[in-house]
Amino acid sequence: MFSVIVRRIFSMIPTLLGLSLVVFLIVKAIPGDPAQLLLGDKANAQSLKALRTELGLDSPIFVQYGKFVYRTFIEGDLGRSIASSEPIWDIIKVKFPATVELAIFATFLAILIGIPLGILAADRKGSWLDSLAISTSIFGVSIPVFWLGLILIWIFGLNLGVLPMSGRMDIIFDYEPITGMVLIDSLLQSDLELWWSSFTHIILPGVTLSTIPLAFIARITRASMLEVLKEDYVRTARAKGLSKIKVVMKHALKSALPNIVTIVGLQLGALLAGAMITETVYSWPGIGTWILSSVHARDIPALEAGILLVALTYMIINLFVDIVLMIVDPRVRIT
Amino acid sequence: MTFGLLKLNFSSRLFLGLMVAAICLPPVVLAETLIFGRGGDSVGLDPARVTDGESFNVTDHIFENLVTFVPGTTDVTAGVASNWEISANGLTYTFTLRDGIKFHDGTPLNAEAVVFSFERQLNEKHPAYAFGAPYIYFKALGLDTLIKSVAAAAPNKVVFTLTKPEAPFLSSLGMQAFAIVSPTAVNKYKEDFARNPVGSGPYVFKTWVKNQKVVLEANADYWGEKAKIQKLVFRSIPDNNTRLMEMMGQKIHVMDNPAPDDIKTLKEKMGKSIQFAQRPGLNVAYLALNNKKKPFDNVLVRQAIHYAINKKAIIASVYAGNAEPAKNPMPPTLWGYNDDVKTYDYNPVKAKELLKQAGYRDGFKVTLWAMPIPRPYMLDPRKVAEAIQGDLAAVGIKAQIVSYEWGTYLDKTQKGEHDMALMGWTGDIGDPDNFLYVLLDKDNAKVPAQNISFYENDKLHTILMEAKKTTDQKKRITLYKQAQAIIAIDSPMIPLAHSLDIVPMLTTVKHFVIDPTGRRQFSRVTLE
Repeated sequence: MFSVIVRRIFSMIPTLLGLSLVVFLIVKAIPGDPAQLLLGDKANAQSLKALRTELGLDSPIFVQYGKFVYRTFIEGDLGRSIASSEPIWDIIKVKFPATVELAIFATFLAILIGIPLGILAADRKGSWLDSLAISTSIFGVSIPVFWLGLILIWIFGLNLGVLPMSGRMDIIFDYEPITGMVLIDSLLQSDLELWWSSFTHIILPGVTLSTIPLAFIARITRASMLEVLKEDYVRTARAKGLSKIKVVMKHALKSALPNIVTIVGLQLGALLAGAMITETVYSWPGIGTWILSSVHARDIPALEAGILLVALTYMIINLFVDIVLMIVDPRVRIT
Repeated sequence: MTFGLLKLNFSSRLFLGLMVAAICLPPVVLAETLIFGRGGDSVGLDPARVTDGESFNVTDHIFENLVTFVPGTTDVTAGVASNWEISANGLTYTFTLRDGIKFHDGTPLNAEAVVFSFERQLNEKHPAYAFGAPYIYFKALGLDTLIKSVAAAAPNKVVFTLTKPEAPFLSSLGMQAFAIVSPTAVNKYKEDFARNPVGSGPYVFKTWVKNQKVVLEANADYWGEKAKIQKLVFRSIPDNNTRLMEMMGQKIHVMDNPAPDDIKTLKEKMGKSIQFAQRPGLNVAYLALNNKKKPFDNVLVRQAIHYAINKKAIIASVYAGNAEPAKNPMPPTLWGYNDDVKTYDYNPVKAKELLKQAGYRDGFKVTLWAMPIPRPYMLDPRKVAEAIQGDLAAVGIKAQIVSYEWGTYLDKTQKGEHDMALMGWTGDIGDPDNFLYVLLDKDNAKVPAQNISFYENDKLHTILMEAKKTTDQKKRITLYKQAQAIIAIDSPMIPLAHSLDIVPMLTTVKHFVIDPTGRRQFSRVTLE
């Protein structure tokens, strides 16, 4: 198993290089000149030319790509943002943990509710519970996120006043990041007030973001369980007189698990790419809003780094899913 | 129970009372903190490098300029320079600095620091040039070609030499981008000065959590009137609806960029706990008439159109009342505004009469260009165009509405392809030159034109050039009033509206003065 993992890690390098070319070309293909955007309506030919030279936009495209690859992969330097002149690594260090924290929280919620819901629905196929699970999942995927977000803020933040409406923590806190994930850092710093503040702040965006993965997880769990519950060995287990819980949890769920793990991994990957709408509605300072604003500003170095980061995250999650699959499903280990 | 409590001494009761209060009350914001909820984060806090309002609103509290503006006006007044002299030929400006001002890091604010602040923007070979380049604002206002040199004549005297006389230069120096920065801090932080700003202003930079908040603290050693509020927090809440709800929930003290509908909602839901500061912004929305094309070469036709358009109705319907009707191409908040120009109150009968005199008894057909996107001075250009179309139809003019993608629109109007076109302008500096010369001087009627009315009037040109050169403020005011009178009679374009800048805030916020240039200044604000 170990050698498989090592091989997989090495195979990520050429993928990443190929990807860098694609990312570089896509970013270049976005219409709009960053120099023009920086200078605004008042740009003239002379100031444009000077700025383009300053930003290195006037050298041939393959030279630019060469510099980009050398800088990123050999020197490990992501460059500076055109818009803010900040080192991009510093931006990522702050924004990515915020996205990771929210994504993990949302996925955790989705698993916690989605899997039991799927199991119950499969077990009582055709019952009201099953209908409830199916309609919940349809509701989950089809409800517009910005609307749900605003409604939740309106109910719990404004009218009931029980949860904060936006942001990551109360403004009174001066927070020094360690991992960048406030829920963890506050515990490391044994600051329970900060923990509570960040926990209450993550609930609404977390719930909003969890609706789609929850729906997928519930559906996949239900479908896989239905398939498995029909199998002979489950019938045998039942015939042996095992308790229902034991049959479902031990025999059926174990076989359905690979499908569920795969979908959880995919969903987590998607959430880690940053949830632009949820992040915007809740003023959550994550990677999604950053990439979006970088597109608006044609912030080329920021975009290149941002998209590569998202892609790398996907690859790592995929690898992780495969490892988990190897653990839960012995058949995968052989291939 | 009650009896027992009474027996406690005062401090114990106070302590107990505070404990109870602490448990019962949700964590409210401290009275000495003001939270400003805004639509976006600052790009950077090096004022010379940025161009966006969200950055300037923060840097304006940290930094100071040689000159500044009287709060709530565009009148230039002393900043860190206590006074200044301008040579008779208008080419040399000598500023005398106040004694004893220090930056937040202890560096003295002297002539050397002023020269450093300008040289780093002016001179590409300056060692600190690269740290804040490309200095967009400096170049956009033409200071890179206007300033010939800047030098320290004495420890407290700075001399600017210009390449040509340009009176608006003084106003320009008051813009946030030309603030005086601590040379020590710039050299220490280099490119990262934008994240570690050090100035001499009433507030000291404390922390910046990206996309969350910028925190400033009152400068205890400030040389001037010290800030009343201890802590200023600039919170980023990009979603309009979320920001509105934060305001309704009183989680922020002041809200930026409310949508027209939000104002109504806030009034209805918050009643007495909300107040609004409002005034016309430094902007104008107008209908350009292409003076190079028939029939707009005829002044009677231009005046007829002016009478035909019902500005008040447009403001009531399309602007939801959040604008003031315009009669001049510059806003009334700007000095030199002429309130006594010829006016054109809505009068379709008079319009028809003028058209008849001009030989267009049966009207004519024209194109009416409408911007494709909302602009700060006109949120719904299409609807404005439709309203104008209706008004013109009533006097027999058939206008066909035309629109292009924004870049194309600018390009084509600058080339003069339109008959009539909606357009507008937001001032860069608080100087009438920045409106009248830019929008209506013949110098700017050449393709690509900013004077898209293509109005050329030699008399006006003489006045505007004279006003540019003279540094006598009273004379300049007189000249600009004359200029507006000429424009009003000639009616080369129809000034439509000055959109209002509206700032909702809790009624506990006192002494907030809304600024005509749109900056948000809290140094004099108090909280009740």
